[in-house]
Amino acid sequence: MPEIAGVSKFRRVLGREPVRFAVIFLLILALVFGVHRLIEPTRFMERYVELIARSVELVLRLTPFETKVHGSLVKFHTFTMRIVSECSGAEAMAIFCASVIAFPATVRQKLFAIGLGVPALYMVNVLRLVCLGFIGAFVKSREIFHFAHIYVWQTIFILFVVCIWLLWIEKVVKRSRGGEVAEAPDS
Amino acid sequence: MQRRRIPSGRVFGRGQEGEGGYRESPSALHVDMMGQTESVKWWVFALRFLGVAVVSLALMGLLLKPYTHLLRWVVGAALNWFATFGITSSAVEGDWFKVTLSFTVNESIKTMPAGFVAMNLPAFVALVGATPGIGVRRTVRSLAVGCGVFFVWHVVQLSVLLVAGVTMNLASPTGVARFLATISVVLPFALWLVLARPPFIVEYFRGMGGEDGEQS
Repeated sequence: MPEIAGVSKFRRVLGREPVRFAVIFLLILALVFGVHRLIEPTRFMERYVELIARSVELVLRLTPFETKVHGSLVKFHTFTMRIVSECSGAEAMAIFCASVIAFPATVRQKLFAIGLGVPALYMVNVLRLVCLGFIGAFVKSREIFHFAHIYVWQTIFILFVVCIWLLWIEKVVKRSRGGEVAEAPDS
Repeated sequence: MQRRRIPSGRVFGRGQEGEGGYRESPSALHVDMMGQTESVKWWVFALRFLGVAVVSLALMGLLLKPYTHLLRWVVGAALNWFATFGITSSAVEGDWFKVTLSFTVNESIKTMPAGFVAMNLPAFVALVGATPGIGVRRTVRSLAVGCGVFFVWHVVQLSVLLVAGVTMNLASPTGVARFLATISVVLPFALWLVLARPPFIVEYFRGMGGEDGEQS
C-alpha cells in the first residue's frame, strides 16, 4: 500500500530522538501540571505543604534560636513565614520528572532517577526555605529577602534540576551504554 | 523488546577495544570521539552556571527599569491599538528588582511586579553561558533569539494578566497567573535545550540513532 509522503516525513521526524524527547517532555509536563492543578486545592496538597513546614522546622531547630511550626506557618527567631503551594518546588520536580521520562533510557534507570532526584529536590527546597528563614530573621532588608526569594533561589533551583539530570545521564545512563548490546529505550 | 546495538568505546565507558558491532564504522568513531570531548562534568557546569548567573543577575538589576519601560510601551501600544483596550496612563516605579509596572484602565490601576515577570531571563542566560562546547557564535545566537522569545513572552504574559485582571474584574487573577508563571519556569530550560542544543545531550541522541545518526 503506497504511503502518503507527508505521513512518512512526519514519522521520520518523530522517529528522531530529540524530537521525540521534546514531544514526550511537553506531554509529561502538561500531565504533571494538570495533576498538580487538580490536587492543589485538596487536603493532600495542604498536608504536603505542612510536611515541608515541619521539615524546615526540623532543620531550623538545630540552631539555638526559637523555632515553632503551626500548620504551614514557620516561626524562626523574629521572622514568621507561611509556606504556600507555590513554595512546594512542584514546578522543578515536574521539569525533572518530565526530562527523565522523556530521555531515552530503561524503565529501571528512569525509576532510579525519579526515586533519588525527587527527594533530592525536596531537600533542596527545604534548604532554600531554611536560607530564606535566615535571611528573613537576620537580614532586615525586605529588598534582600525579595531578591533572594524571587531571583537567586529560582535560578539556583533550575541549576539543581539540570545538574541532577546531567549527573544521572553521565553516571547512570551513559555508563550502562558501555556494553556491546543494550536494550532499546522505553520512551 | 527491540534490542539495539550500541557502539562501544570510550564514550560510554566500559566497552572493550574493537568489541562493538559498529566499532569500526565512521559514525561510531564519530560518536566515540565526540562523546569523549563533549562529556561534561556536572560540577564544572554548576560552577560556570553560578559565575554567569551572578553576572546576569547584576545586569538584570541594572537593566530591569529600562526593560520595564520597553515592556510598558509595547504592552500599552499592543492593547490600545489592536484591542482598543483604553489604557489611559501607565507608569514604571521602583528601582532594581522592585520595579513595578502600573496601567490605568477604566479609572482602576493595575500594578504588576516587573521583576517577578522577568525573573526567568537570568536563569536562561546562565544556562546558555555555562554550556561548554557550543562556541561563541551559537552562544550569542542562542542568547539573542532567546532574549527575543523572552521579550515576546513577557509582553504576552503582562497583556494576558492585565486583560484578565480588568475583564474578569479580579484583583489578582490567580489561576491565570499561576498558569503563566508555570510556563515562565519551564521556558528557560526548554529554550536552553532547543536553542543552545547542549553537545553533551545532542551527542548522546546522535549515538542513539537520532539526528544524523543511524536509526535501527
